[in-house]
Amino acid sequence: MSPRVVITGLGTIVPKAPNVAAFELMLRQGRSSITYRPEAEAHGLSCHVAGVPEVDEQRLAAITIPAQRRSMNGIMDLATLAAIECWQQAGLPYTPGDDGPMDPHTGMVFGTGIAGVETLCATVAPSVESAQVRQLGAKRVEQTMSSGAAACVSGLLGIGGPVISPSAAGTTGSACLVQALRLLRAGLCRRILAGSAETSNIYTWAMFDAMRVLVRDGNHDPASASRPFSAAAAGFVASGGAGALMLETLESARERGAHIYAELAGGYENCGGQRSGGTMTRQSPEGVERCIRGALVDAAVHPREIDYVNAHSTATMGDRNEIRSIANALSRNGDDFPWVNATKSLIGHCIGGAGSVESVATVLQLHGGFLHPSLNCEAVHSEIAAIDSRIPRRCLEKPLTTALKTSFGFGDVNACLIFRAWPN
Amino acid sequence: MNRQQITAQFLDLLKPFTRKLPPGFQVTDPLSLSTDLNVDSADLVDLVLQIEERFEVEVPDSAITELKTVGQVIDLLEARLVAA
Repeated sequence: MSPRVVITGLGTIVPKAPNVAAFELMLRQGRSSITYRPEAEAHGLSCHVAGVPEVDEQRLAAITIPAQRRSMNGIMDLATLAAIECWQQAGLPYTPGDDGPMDPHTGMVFGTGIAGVETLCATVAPSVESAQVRQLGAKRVEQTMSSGAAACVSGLLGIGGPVISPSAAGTTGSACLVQALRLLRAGLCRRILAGSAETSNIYTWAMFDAMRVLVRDGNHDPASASRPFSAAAAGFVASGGAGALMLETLESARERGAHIYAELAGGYENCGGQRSGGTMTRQSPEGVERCIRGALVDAAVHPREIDYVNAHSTATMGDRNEIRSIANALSRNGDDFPWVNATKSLIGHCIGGAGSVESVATVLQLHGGFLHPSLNCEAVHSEIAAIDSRIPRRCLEKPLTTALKTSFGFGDVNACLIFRAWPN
Repeated sequence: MNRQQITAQFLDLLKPFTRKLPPGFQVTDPLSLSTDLNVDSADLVDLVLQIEERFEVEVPDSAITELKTVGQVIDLLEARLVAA
């Protein structure tokens, strides 16, 4: 029988919340972290709002040594802050600059969506274009490779198990958790630091802005710009951040007396194949429903047991399709639909970081017995009006047992996770 | 700039590249940049860029691979700066 997998540590950094405690407070208060970005307006983007996590230099300096710090760029900063918090919260020892033996029993599955884009755009491209290649120095490859964040963090922590960086667009964070779950069930590690990160920068915003998928009518009021489920949903808000979860076999967690935040009961990932309505940028409903069912089967959870859904919903037409697919997969609709909220209504879309950041939000709600408000959906879209009563508009104190986390991404890729509350 | 000044400025540049200088470290010690101070070949590339900026000298790529010890770096700098 494969081992059960539990969560023994959490770490995060998102806009206006530099750690887990601040993030939980933000969720409970239902505070938006979206801000006006003058640089977006100055560069001619149509969307002038975004979420931007603030990196605390003093905190980074305290958890690294100069020889490590000098090699790090934005994506590594975010990953490091979330990962070290997660590691320490899991009760594992960490000394900056430690040169002791590595830990062969711990692995890392930590991805990014668009790795190191600001390094490529702001440093590499100008140096190449001006024939100043020698001045690039030796760090640009590690800063821009997909596995750069994982490589940086695994070196800080001396992780000696598998270190991989799966990437699947907006699905990345949740896909990493699914992969980590499988490695642990296969008995290959005792623990895996799983998660993802994404920077929030003008280059990434510009690419999405040019696709016309960012909201354009929210510039005057940033806090109301991200409107998942709403009749006024008009595109997503670009954001960034990092989430890290320490996944551990139940046996290992019990052996060392670790606090257990929740169980990762199951997960599933698939692709709609860009068929049956799916395209590069739109999910096939068949693929989404199959993914949710796959996660339920993997977790051996009945659809009726799901009492909360942390939706992928980004504030596009995809929201309505998602709700329909969940209703079909669970055979539940109207007042029978589980509670559902969208963490993106507070923090925007963290792209490759979204799945792990929102998984941290899901675990915090299961652990703390509350539902964070879903902002900016005073009037729900008419196509999903049946579930209106299931969207919390204020923080609800409510014991939760089983949560479904959905994540979707470009390429018609999906990943779904089932978390269960842990009776401590 | 004399050898002592060169050494002081170089050690200042070296510090962020190495985890820790051994206790009682002397620049005359035949310590390997790579194995003793953990400055790998990629670090050395960046270290040389900083040396070039600080001392306003040019270190050809062919010379970088010859730099194995702290003493060799100081020797190279002294030769360049005296020649200049």
